[in-house]
Amino acid sequence: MSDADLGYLSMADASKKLAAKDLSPVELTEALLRRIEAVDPNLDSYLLVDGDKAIASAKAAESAIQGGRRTGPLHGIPFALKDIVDTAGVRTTCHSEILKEHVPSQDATVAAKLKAASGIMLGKTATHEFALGGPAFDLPWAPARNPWNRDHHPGGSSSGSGSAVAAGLAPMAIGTDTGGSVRNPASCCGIVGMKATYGRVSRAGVFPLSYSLDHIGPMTRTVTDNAMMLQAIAGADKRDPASAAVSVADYTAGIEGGVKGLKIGYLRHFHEIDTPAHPDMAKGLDDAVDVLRAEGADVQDVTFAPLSGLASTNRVILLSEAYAIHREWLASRPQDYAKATRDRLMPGAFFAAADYVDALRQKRRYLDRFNKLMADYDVIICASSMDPACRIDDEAEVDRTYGRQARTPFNVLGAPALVQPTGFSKDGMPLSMQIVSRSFNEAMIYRVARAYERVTEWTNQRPPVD
Amino acid sequence: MPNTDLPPTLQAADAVDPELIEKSRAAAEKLVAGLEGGYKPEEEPVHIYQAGGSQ
Repeated sequence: MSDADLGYLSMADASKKLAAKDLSPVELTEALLRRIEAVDPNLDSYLLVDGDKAIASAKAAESAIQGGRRTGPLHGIPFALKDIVDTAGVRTTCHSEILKEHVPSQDATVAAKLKAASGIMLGKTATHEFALGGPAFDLPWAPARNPWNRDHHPGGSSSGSGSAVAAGLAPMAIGTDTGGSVRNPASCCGIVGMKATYGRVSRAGVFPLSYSLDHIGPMTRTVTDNAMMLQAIAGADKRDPASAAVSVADYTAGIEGGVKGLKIGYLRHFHEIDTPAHPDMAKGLDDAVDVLRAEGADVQDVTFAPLSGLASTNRVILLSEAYAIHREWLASRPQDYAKATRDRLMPGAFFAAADYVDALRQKRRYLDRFNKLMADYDVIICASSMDPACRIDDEAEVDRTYGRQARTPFNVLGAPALVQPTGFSKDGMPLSMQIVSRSFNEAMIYRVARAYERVTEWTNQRPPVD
Repeated sequence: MPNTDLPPTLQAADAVDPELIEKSRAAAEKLVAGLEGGYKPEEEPVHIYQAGGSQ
């Protein structure tokens, strides 16, 4: 197989080949490292690639397979980590001057879990600074680019993870999501991104943005791969007090179950009334719902709260907590942040404590309403981004589109939410939809997403990077 | 010159970007205005004790 074919090989297929010894972890890892060297100078998706360590891990994985000690489905499969995820002995910068030389002594739990599954760490990916400020051109490293058009924004804040996965430079990557930062790059780059239920994946060892809203999530090219990755990283963790003591479902067992007879709510007002979407995005959503209906789902229009209030609730909580985390550095070395980061962090200085508590009260109100809505539906479908990815150097357009999204509601609600591609705009940029369910019902989301993926062709498209 | 009317934690940021403080104050006010409001004491304690949880 060519390096490109190995780069775009699904995890599921790679796993079968590795288990059958038709492919070696070293062969796969070397192909990806060559691709990164050839393609990434145009994308800047990686901040750090540790080829020597990756090859050493791949050799160990190969030796284990040869010796009959295969760990499981991720054995020998390479991965990348957003550079706010701590890696023992490997620089973890948060894409910031402030932590430019920071080398953690301990792995984050997600990194440790992927290594324990015998995954091969390729490197650390670009992010908006501290998962908030970007895209920014006044940081020590350039921002990641969109593989479908490098002049366009890859979304953020898990921008490098989205770009790397879409470009076939890693089959899986970790992102983090506080106001949509797994799902935005998934939308912009045409891949699958899951923000699982609050507490489903440990945040231990990941630099926080907002304790109440932070989630960790898998980013992959296919739905099944995403389920495989979540399987490896989900579960309770004593190191994260918010992690949930809820048993982890088998995310791939029922994934081919189809949607016949499932009840799906279509939340149109987010993108038709609250924040009217670009026509290509709206058509992509309607077409996707038609596909699910044709597959046998019972789809009905539903309503929830207006987006603006949900977004305000997210931002008051997020910025209050983020400012508390960053205020010492903002006071002592503000010039070391990107301008975009300062602009986004500083409103947090002006909330009263009562404003923050009111936002938490509002969160509870929304959760009560959402639980009532979800009692009647298996999943809800709605928009993720209202617009295809804009040009990365158009600051005004980046600012305009930044809030034109429907992801923040599901950080407020803590509910699982997945984004997957639904086609392309007339300009060739990916379109997307979001599938949401009640807490800990990720398996149902994967089942619906896979039913859509199975009868559409978007996952098989390759961006023009080679 | 630093704006000494500001708390010390904001003076350095103000010095880096003189427009930042006023822009941020306006942004915060807009976000708070976006909350539904009407949080009544009689709704407590149910809401406040559960407010931090997500499930």
